Amino acid sequence: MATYYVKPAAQGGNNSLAGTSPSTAWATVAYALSSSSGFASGDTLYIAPGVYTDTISVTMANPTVETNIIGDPTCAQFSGLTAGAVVITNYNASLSGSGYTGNIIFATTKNFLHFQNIKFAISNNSAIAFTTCVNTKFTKCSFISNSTAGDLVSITSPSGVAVNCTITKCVFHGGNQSVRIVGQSIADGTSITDSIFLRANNTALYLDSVQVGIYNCIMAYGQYGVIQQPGSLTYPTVVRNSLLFRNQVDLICVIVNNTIIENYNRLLSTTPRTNVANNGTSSSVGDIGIDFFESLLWGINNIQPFTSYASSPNASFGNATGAPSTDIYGVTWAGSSPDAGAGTYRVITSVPSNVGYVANLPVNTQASVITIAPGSTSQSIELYLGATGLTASTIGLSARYNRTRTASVSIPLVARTIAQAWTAGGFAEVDATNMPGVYRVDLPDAALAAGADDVTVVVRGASGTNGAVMTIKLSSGGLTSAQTASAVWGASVAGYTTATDFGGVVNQIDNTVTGIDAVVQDIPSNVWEELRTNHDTAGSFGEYVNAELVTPVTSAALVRMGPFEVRADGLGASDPLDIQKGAQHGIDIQCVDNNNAGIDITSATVTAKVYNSGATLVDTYSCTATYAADGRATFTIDTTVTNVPGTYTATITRTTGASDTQVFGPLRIYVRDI
Amino acid sequence: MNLQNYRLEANPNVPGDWIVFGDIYDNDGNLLGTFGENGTSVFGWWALQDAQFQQNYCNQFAVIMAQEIVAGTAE
Repeated sequence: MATYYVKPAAQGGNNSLAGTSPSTAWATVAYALSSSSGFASGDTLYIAPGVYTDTISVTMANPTVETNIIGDPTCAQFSGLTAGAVVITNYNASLSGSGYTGNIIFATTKNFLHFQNIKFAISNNSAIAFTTCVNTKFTKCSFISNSTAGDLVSITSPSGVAVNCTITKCVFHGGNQSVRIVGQSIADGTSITDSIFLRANNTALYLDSVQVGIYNCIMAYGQYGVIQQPGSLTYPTVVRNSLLFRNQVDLICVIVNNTIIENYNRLLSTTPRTNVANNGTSSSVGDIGIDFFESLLWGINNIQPFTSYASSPNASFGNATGAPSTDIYGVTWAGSSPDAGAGTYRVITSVPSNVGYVANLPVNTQASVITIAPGSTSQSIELYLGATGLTASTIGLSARYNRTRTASVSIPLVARTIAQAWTAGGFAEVDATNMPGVYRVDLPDAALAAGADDVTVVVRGASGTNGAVMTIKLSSGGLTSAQTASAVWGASVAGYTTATDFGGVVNQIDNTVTGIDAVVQDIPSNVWEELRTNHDTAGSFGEYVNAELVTPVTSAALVRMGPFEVRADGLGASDPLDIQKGAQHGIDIQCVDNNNAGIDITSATVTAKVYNSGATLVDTYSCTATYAADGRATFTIDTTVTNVPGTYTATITRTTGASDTQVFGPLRIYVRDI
Repeated sequence: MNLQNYRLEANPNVPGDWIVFGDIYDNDGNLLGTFGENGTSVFGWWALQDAQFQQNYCNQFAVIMAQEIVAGTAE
């Protein structure tokens, strides 16, 4: 179970080397499969990307177990080489002209050979011409011919032995017949699944005396889709879940009718069946149902060509019995049943790494754009490289950056764990299990220095990844919150004084700008000088002040104050009367003599005369005796006096006759405006 | 259109001619026609077609003739 390697001579391949490692790889497939190489049953041969123009005669000892010949388009085995197609051809090395005439690989009685991931570019004859070979397999191979001659794959089995050939996930174009298999009219496990056959000049699948299970294939643009030459009613060929169109006849039995059993197919050619029974589960009408590049042309979806489009008539048209569980791309059927055809509907966000290759150009490269403030330091980015297990020391892995219109600069990678601190070139896998393929890269500070519009970072070169590209816009739009705060609070006021903008309002010193005075020191003045009439909204504090403190009298009940002792002989009063502006109060007085004894006012007329500070009589009030024998009386002072704040004096006169008048007081009155 | 019981036989009376046998059905299994109990002669049927039809198929056949001539498999 040894492993061997082949790579182009231009990459160092040499048939004189051991072939047991990529560095000692052989140069030709012909040598590898010859009896001279040592490659044997059960071994594995990896072939590096390149064009191989060998005439390959398989002369190795007849394998008895599966023996793998595997193309390595992704260079998973060949570090340092560029990913690309593995092409074996009988064109010339540039595929631009004639090479040699003859079959590309031919063998007699070589069993269990399994070819994978190889493109056969065929200018003439056959790609595979195997005589009396059984248990041959082809997986993910393409057989491309621009000729109308030659059978692209031709296999026969020995007398009495089943072919047991397996073809899956392969693509065929051109040739006389895509596949020609000659069996023995016995039970045979040959199967052809998930494959596409286009423009065979004669027949896509030419089956001679062999039982084949054909599931989920596309066969189009040929004379015939499937021909069953002398077949067996006991061991018929089954065609199921397949899509056939633009053939002259899709399915035809020659010599023995009904040696093909077909069901759940979409047979859209003019003559779907010749000598094949229609069992009623297939369709012969409607659209072909697959994407012919149009979704890519329109940019509405990313659908791989020749797969079902959304709501295609092919969707879930098939039957699961005997069918593969996935399509040609390894994708599980989108519906509850397999589609008719080789590819199910799906929209992909990127071309998966197991699909197709463009020589010398990486595919599946991740590209993205982020923004970081220029001059930022100790910055890390995360990139998707599409493979796990990469480290700073992975062979071939490299990183570079270039700033706008400047040469690229290497970023030497430094091993980091994900939680370790930043270091220039630090490289760490984020989480191989839960975020597979994502890596942290610590950018050198020089990459982000101010002075460039952007910087582009590339990480690439290792086997298994097509690399990633990230462009970083150097823009203050990428400020952190701390940087934003610093920029705002640290800005000079000089540049922000326009009267109508926010800066002008904040920075104004003496004047109100745009109706707003934002100077803190002006606030007390603005408050105390503000007209209270501007602030009387119901329920507000201003309304409360107006209603309850300034004009409470309007709603207050009459209250009484005193008694104030007003003394005879101009000796004044016991206390001054202190009263609010606008108030109306009952004032109790007691007329007393020099010894503070009450003076009888019985039957006397008692009057209170109120004078302002200019000695002008403002109002006169009649007093009503409340306890006449003790000189006690009351009068009500009203707004005639109290509406005007100031200092007043009231004198109380007691008149008992025409000439008998005695004056008491005065009682000083303060009317205050609150 | 599907063909059942299709077969070709060389016309024993006209060298180079072939006789087509079989029944012609639609996709619903309805019999549309047959090549006749004694089959249909290719030469005879061909001669009945109009010149436009013959020219059209001769154009296609010419390419096949050319390929065979170049390949050396034709006389």
